[in-house]
Amino acid sequence: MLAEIKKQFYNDTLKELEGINGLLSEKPVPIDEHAVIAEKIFTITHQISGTGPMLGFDSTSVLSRKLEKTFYHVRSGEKEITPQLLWQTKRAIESIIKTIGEENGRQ
Amino acid sequence: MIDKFRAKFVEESMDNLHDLEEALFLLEKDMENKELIERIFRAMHSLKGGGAMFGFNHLSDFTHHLETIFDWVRNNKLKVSTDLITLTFSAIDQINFLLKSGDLTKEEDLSNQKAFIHRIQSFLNVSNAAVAAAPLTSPADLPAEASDENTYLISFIPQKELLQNGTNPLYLLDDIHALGKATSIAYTHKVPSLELLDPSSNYCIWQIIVSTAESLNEIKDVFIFVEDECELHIDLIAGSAIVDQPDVKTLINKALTSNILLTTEDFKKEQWLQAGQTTVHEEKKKVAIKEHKIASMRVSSHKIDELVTLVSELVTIQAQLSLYAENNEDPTIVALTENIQKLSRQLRENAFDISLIPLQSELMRFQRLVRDLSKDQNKDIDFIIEGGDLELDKNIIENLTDPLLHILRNSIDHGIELPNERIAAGKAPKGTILFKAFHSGANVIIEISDDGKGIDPEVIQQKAIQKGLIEADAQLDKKEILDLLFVSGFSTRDVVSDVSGRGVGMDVVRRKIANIRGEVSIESEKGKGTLITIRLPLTLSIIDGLLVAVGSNQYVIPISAIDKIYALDPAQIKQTFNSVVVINAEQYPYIDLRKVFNEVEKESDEVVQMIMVKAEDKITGVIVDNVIGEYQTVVKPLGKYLKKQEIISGASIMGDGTIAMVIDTSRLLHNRKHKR
Repeated sequence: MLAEIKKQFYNDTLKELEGINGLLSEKPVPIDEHAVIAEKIFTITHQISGTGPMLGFDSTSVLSRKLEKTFYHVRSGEKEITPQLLWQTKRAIESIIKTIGEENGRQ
Repeated sequence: MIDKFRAKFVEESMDNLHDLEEALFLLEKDMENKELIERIFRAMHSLKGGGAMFGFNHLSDFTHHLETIFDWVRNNKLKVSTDLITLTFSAIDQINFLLKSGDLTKEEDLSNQKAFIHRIQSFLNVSNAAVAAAPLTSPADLPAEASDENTYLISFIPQKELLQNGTNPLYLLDDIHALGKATSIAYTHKVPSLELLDPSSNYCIWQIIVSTAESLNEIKDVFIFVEDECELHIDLIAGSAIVDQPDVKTLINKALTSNILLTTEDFKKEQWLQAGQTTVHEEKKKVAIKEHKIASMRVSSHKIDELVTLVSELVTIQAQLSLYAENNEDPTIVALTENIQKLSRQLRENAFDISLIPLQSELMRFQRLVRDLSKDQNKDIDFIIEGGDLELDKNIIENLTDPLLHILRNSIDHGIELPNERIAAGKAPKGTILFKAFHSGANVIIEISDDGKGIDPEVIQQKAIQKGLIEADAQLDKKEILDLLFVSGFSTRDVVSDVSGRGVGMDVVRRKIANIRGEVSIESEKGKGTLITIRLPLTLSIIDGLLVAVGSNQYVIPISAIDKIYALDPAQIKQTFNSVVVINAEQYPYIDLRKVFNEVEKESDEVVQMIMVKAEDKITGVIVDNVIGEYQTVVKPLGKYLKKQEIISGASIMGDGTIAMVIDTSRLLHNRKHKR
């Protein structure tokens, strides 16, 4: 059952991350989509940071916490979205996809 | 294993629901508060995500719909309204139900759930007056940056661990180079020889001189996800593009050969900054990873109960040891016993402190009750809580909830009037219920007062006569009349409402409070309001008692109930009439415990001890043969065979292994009154 939960978590997270990565690949990312993307990033990273460690995805959650923190500030209006931020986020998401794959393979 | 995760999810979700309710109460007072809306959305979101993960599919589906509503609110498509808050409160009850029951199987539950979802959906349809969602702040909204180029010196000094989180520093350098014209300097002098080199560690430092028209934020964002693992300085060194200038190249060469990092001072010499421009120094110091100290932890109440039981056993054993040490007079054992006594006292205090929980944990239910009922009855009520952080034994809190809910229901149903009635009575249309908790000596007092219509003693008396509870010619003072409310089966309400007035109210309240060694009293002023006072002990399992002897047995009377002790001449007692004794010109009723426990009265001239016991604001004497002394005692429950025993609340094992019964003074006094 636990293995099933992990599998489901991995599949769902990967799907979500790849979806976001796709959105971030648009150049430039349309401004009217910034809010939606920011929300999606915050939500998925919040989920990874919260549930990931419980299911053994420790390394994945390290970077996801950084993203979560950053996009928390974005959502609360304390931080603005710059093209650079979106670009670095894309990099970070790719790194999370790689790490979660590695951690999933190890389990 | 999975059950453990599910149980943990349920436990955490219950906390989440508690937060959610709290946020909703606050939102009702400040409907535009974005932070609260976010908080509610996040709680919904966590419930949805976790629910799906741990097999609570109905919960996940349900919260998904609710989450949608708050997503609309966040995006300014929907305004917060009282109806929305009411709907969400009801939804919290449903979530609570779903968490407790898991996925629904009963047809009735499923159709209820479906109907509720339909209610949420129709709420969205009705409120479909969408307001265009405002996008988050974006560069387009910001004032345009000056298009002129500036030159920055970026010092990027990563920690050794930089590479371990999957960061490739060369990508970051590329990103800086992409911002304009740049030159990077790599300082490699810290790279060790091959045999000492750890390939997963970083040993390099970089400085980049970049001329760009991009904003400082754009540069800072390059390093946003590595800022915890590096020391970063971004300094404006020139108000123009100077990367290609020969002087800059010379400086770069010098830095490369000397392995000494460039500073802003090196560039100041060249006067590249124009008049009016000052050096901007942006520094992002490495933030040391803070040590997370756990401020609190979750422990199952079962474990705490076990700890308290063990400590109670220890206190008993320790009393035995003290007795043994006294009898043997061995100085070493006496000294050791004293040390153990000190330690066990500390341990006992700590253990009992752990078992205390703040009253706050239950207050949300009360707030909710007041809100929902006042809305149902079209009453406007301000519910004020004072002293919610006060801590009480968890067993007391568990037993206190029902009586408190009942008292509050009574206040709303019978006490507070409708707004127009209040105006007619010269009061503010909004009624107030004040819930106040505070310490008073070894007790905790909870007062619930309202500024409603109060209780008419006349009505109570007539009702009591009608019901045959008192004689028609009974002469009772106001307090005694109000006390009739606590008599079983008494109800003044002619129409039984959904809320209260079923006639099983206040007597149950008194009984339940007495079960936790508490007392309840009522005061009321017709037209002005009612005050209900509950007096409770701090803890249930250990009490400071007075050890007394009656016949051949020992008993414990809780010290908190004792006012004074008098030594009386036996003749003084013999001369009394109707069990009332005169002491210092005051008349006191008394109870002779020797008669209560069927002990033979000693025929001697020795003085008898009369312990003056307070209960329900009255002082009554209790006669015992002898007062042995103060005794801190662990109260053990009597078990089912002695459950019907009314005046004994428990038993205590003494140091010598004998048993002393703990007397429930309020029941003792109450029984006496009843018998009279």
